[in-house]
Amino acid sequence: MRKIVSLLMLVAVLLLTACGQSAGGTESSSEDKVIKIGATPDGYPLYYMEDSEIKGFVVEVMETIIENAGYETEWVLSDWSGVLASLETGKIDTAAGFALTPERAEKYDYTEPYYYSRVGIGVSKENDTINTLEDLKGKQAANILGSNYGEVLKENDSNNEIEVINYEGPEVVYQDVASGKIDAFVTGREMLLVQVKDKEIPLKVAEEAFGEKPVAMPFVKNEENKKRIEELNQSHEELKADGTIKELSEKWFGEDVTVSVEE
Amino acid sequence: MIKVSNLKKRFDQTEVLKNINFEVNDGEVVVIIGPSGSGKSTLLRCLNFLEQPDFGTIQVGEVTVDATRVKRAEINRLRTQTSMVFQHYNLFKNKTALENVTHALIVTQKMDKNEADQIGRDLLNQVGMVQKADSYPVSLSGGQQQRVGIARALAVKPHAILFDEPTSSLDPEWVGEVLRVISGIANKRKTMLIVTHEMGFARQVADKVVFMADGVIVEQGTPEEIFDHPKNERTKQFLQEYTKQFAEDIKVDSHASSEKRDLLST
Amino acid sequence: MNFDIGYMIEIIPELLKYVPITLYLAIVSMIIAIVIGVFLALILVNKIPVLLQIAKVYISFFRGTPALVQLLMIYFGLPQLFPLLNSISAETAAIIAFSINTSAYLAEIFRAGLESVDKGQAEAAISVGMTYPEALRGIILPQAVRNAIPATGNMFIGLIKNSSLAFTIGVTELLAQGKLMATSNLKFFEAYFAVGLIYWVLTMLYSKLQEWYENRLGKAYQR
Repeated sequence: MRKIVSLLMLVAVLLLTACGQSAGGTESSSEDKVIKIGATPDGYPLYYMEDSEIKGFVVEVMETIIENAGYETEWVLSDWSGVLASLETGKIDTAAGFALTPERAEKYDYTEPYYYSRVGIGVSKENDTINTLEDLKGKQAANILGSNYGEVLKENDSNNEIEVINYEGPEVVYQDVASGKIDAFVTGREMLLVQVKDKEIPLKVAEEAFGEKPVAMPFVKNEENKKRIEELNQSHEELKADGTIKELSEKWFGEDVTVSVEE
Repeated sequence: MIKVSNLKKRFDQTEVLKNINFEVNDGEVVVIIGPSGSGKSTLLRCLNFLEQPDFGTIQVGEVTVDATRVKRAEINRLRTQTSMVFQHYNLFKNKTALENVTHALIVTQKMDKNEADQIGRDLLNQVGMVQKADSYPVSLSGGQQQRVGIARALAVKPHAILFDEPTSSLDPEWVGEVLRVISGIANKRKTMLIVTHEMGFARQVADKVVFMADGVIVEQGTPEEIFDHPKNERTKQFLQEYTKQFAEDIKVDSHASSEKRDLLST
Repeated sequence: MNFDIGYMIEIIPELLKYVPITLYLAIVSMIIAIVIGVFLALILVNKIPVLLQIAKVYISFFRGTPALVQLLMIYFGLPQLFPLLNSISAETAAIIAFSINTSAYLAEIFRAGLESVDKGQAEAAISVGMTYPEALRGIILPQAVRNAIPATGNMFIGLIKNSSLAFTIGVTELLAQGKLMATSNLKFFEAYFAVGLIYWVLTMLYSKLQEWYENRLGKAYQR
């Protein structure tokens, strides 16, 4: 018995030291020339995993802008709540797919928006009654917990006539909307369009899109990040000017989502 | 020798031991008798600090302990001077009969396992249990378990062995074999302190008999003095009661014991 | 949306690569939790003053708050109080959180295990000159372990599955990898089903191991 206990303790100590060392390893890589990006790759084609690599439109745009500015990128994947907490506590430098809302603007400094996201309404293929935001009134709309599409919907629903139901992830939502258990699904319009086209999601996208939000890279407010943001914005300008950004958008969406339609 | 002076112990409001004084000489067999609740077992359990006395000094062999200022190390040393045989045997359930006997030798005396096994087998042989050396307690009868318990108590070569009602929870059919083993040890002039209700046995093995009631020693003397010529009224009364009870026991014994046996074997 | 069994089978080999990280989190956390749990249980059983109060608060807090909250507090909260801790990796933080959380439950399981051992066992050990620690090691713990194994096994199985919480702080284990793989083609249910199958097999293998161990320990208690 004594042997077993001491053995267990020894193993525990060894393993913890091993972890401690690997922790030291990652620490040294957070040198100034690397930008750590937190992401939850759950939104094809903005960000998703394929062959153990993160891919997608947002991934390519961010990497292009950051690398053009002379930085390297390192992706840190976790749940969205983990991304938010990591950003706040400095475990990552910035986050992917971060829409710029007034509240969020107070907390962080941002680069120029690299794309504009609008809310799209997904409905079942048989549904002919919901075509606009107006049609959703008195109905239920699904939202993915942690995403801000539900918030945007509420902003555009001044009389509180639409009930937002939060879901943990998209997989159940598709089924519930397709089967009519819930009337509609609010999510990124561009994302939903591509998913319906490429992935045979059994939904269609209602005509009207609304609630445009700029999506930009957030950084904790400090002097070093101010400098980084300047560099990134300059890099972004160059890439816009030579058409690289537009090209990327058209490759993924067949349209340019990197300019605002509302402005 | 064992020497107990001014020993006091209370549980909450009840004074269980009221100023106990007595001595046991080396090689002496002392039997403690008395009604239930008279403090006999508590007295025994104070000798190895299974119960912490409130007051008094206890000397066993070379170790003397004052209950009012005692350190853990002293308690541990005192405990090495005695070993105990329990009413409910208390064999280590996760150990074989042999391991029950040898475990303390290997752990506390750092004895080599082979050497301990040799001693263990000798002792099991003495109590007639060597053929069950590799059995676990669960597969032994009460009498067999108690005999292993006695071998375990002998193994550590204590200054004295304390027997706490060693036959009280045995089926009547096993009582004889256990008493025979204890008598065998008594004949080897081992210092022993025995709490028992077996009066015939007490008379046979005891050098000295102590009668306790209500937390005090009422009377002590040779078996003849106590059993044949008790001086104190309470001693007389106890012995009379006991004889009456004993006679009744014998009457009901024949059915009772067979019923008990059935219960135990299921 | 038709269920694609072919795809489900296809991704299993890729998912299996994440079994080691899941087992690593679960096993290391369990070992540490057992060590802490035994100490806590001993404090509870022996009612050691001061430590007893601390142990009770520890147990009630870590049983009374969600493991996810504990995980977030350890990974994100503690470094704000103690900047030194900023360098702990996500794996280490996850292991610390799971160990602490599990140990609080194990403490109660072990306490019950220890208390189920007859007091006479300790008395007998002491009466032949063993010290309490010696009695504990040789006599009491082995018997308590036998009593505590079924409940401890349940904790371990729970830990294997709950280790997926670690994805919140960026540790990609089995369930997270299933989710991530499905992001490229949105075949979530196939991925979840495959992940579920793997968890099931893991826990079945563990149950077999436990059964074998229980039989081995039970040898002494069978007539």
